[in-house]
Amino acid sequence: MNTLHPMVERPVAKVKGTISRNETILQSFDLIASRMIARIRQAGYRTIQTPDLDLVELHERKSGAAITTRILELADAFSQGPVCMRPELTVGVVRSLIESDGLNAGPARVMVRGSVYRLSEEPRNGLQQIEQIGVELLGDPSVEADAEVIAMADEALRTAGITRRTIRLGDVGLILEAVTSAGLPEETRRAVIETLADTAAAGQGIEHVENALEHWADWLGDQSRSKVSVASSKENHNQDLQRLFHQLVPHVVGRRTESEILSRLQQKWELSESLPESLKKASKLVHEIGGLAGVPSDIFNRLEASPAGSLIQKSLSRLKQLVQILNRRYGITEDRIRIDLSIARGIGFYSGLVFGIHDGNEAEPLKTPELSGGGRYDGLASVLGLKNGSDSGVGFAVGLDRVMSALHHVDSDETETRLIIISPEDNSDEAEAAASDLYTKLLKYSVGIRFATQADQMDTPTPGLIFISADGSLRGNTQDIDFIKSLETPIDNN
Amino acid sequence: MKLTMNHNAPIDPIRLAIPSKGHLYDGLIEILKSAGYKIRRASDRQYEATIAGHGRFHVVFMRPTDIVEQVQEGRCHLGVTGYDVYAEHSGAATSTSVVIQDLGYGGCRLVVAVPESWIDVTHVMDLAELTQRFKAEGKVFRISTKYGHLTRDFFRKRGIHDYRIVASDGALELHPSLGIADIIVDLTSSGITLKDNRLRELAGGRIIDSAACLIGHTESLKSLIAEGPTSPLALMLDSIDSVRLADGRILIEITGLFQPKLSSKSTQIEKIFGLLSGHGASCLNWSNVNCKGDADGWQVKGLIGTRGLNSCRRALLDSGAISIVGVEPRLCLEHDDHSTFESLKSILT
Repeated sequence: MNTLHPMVERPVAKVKGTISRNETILQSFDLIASRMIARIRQAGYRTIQTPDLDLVELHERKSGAAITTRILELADAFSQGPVCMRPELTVGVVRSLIESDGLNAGPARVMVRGSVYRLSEEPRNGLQQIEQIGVELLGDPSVEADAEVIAMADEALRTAGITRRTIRLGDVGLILEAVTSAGLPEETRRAVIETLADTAAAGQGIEHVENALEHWADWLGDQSRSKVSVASSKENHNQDLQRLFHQLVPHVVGRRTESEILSRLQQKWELSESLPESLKKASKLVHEIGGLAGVPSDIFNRLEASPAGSLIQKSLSRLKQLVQILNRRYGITEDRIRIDLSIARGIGFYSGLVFGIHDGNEAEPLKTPELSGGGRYDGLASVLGLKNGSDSGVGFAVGLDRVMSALHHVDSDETETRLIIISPEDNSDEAEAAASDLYTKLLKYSVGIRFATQADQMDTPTPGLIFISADGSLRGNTQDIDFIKSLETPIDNN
Repeated sequence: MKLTMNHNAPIDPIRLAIPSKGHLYDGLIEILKSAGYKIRRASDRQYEATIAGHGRFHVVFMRPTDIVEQVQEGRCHLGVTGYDVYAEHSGAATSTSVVIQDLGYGGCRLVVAVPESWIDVTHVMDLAELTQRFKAEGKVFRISTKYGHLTRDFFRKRGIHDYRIVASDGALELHPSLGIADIIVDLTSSGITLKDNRLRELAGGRIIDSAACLIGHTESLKSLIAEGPTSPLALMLDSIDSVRLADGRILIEITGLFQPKLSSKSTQIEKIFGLLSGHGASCLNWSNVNCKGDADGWQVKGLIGTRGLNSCRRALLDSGAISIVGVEPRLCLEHDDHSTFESLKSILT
């Protein structure tokens, strides 16, 4: 006996991870979103729309690893290169503003709402469809702009009904400064920073930065044993090196030229002397600052007393200023702020400030979900082709699903629209004309209205179903008829 | 869509999906035949078959990637495919279990290979820096492979993110020289094809080791295990275990004469046993035999690997052995040997 189900057409499932919502949930969802959007618009942010589909290249240019490794790439359908569902909102916003010259005349404040799509951390588990509101303040590099955006995110969540909020502040600039101060050459520094991060995967912490540094140590270990290294030495003149290269490699295969290969080889030899020490220093520093988390004054005092503090002065000073502004201008007291220097999220994307707002009190913010997160991404606009204007930017995104989960119930402040369904009593032209006349009149009011179909009339009595005769008289539920009559009553202007 | 199993009814037929041709097919047919499971297939173009004397098995022939999918969905209860194919296509899916990860043939490894001319690139971490250089120059670093998931996982764990996968099914070795990709991630066994195409395997760039493997639909396996140690699944796994254990081993028969003047008989036999055991032999036993008309002869039998026998052959002759005969056994089963069925049972039940 075959224990499998009989061979029948199987239902067509939705794409793994995509979202469908029923009306009740969607109404709550829209209500929360509209409250936040209204509040953000009041603060001078204008709403724009960006495409759901982007060229993959747009996101590869700058998006951090947390994004690029999770892009849902589609076929090159339009001969423009591979396209993808947008994995986040910021890059599309910046591209759109560059296109419309929106960054040429001072700071731009914009907002966008939509879904973003990412492959799950484990790609075979499907997609993550995330509904977000993204808010960006572009063209203002100041710490005041950082504070404005954080306060805006905080206020949006308050408007949505999140009563207890804790702001977690970090600064990937600290890690970048630490790596820079370790004396790594620019290209290696960039590579180290990019790889610092398994890191870049959202939500991951400083321990991954340390792991990444260990991978680099492996690389050097191998380099010192490399046959090519043994075969020559850094003292070789370029000519000798070229001769050796031609002996070893009669044919250069691929897109890299001989000079590119030789130049990098020489740099690698030089680097093999200094890199181990530099990496050790960077790793120590990263470890030291990564372990710091707590209330601002405590963390600042500890950093000032430690040797690490002197190496990351620039980022530290800005962070202090930020906490001050949040307190003085926006009334966000220190007890609602946690400094957490272990945040290494988005290190390939963000250039300085990173922050998240958690649902909950300040005692244990990390155990509650992050409802909103963002940071500063100076340089993004230039990478995307901005020629004139400031390429600085800071922004945040609110995850609507997370906000909904954090809210136990949503108070509705909207009344349900009444639906009137008009059905002519007979097929006469007069009845049709009367029905059409009623339809036109009711259109002027905030009321749902449509004509009855055959199904409406065959079913058990449909609420709101009104029959209209050739002479214009109405038949149906008394309340519905009274409602229509009340709408048709002329407004007394006196 | 995953199919659900009815745990109360025995699975019948037990559907075994195997590759329709190629080395995965040839190797499996050989193993099954040695194990006493001869597949009856009317022609190469027929995609169904039976197994002589094992009526509950229904064999279907598919592409290796389809086998993974059909086992995942429970339409097939068992399947044989490459471990690389399984790892690429099943991922974290819990509906499938690996029954035997290495069936002992089809061995290869998935590796990162770069052009030989890239003498500055010796370790996979070089790619972290190189991809950054490409990015800084506005170029996209491209990797050709048909193993997109495994490749992404591998590079992600090493913090290498700035590249694009060029999905391709064949002749990847050509891609770097044609400029289609900068490097490739592909299977290799001897490395000769890479070398012939001026490519080189990168240190630290071995992604997985692969071989032909037996997979099963987890729920179906539970149901088959519940039928006990005489069930069709248990018998098939025991038989495959026997074939795998015999693989590479030789059944030896060493004959010699006791030399009473040198030492006692038991000491001489102990020495022979010691020599053989030291080179991996098992199942050793001995008996008195007539040797060249002399009644004082001995014969030792046992199992040993080819390499082990070669290593101790001269010492055996020096210790009184007159002849050494070796034959390849088809099956081999020892009491303490690993049992795939028992392991599977302990994992799944």
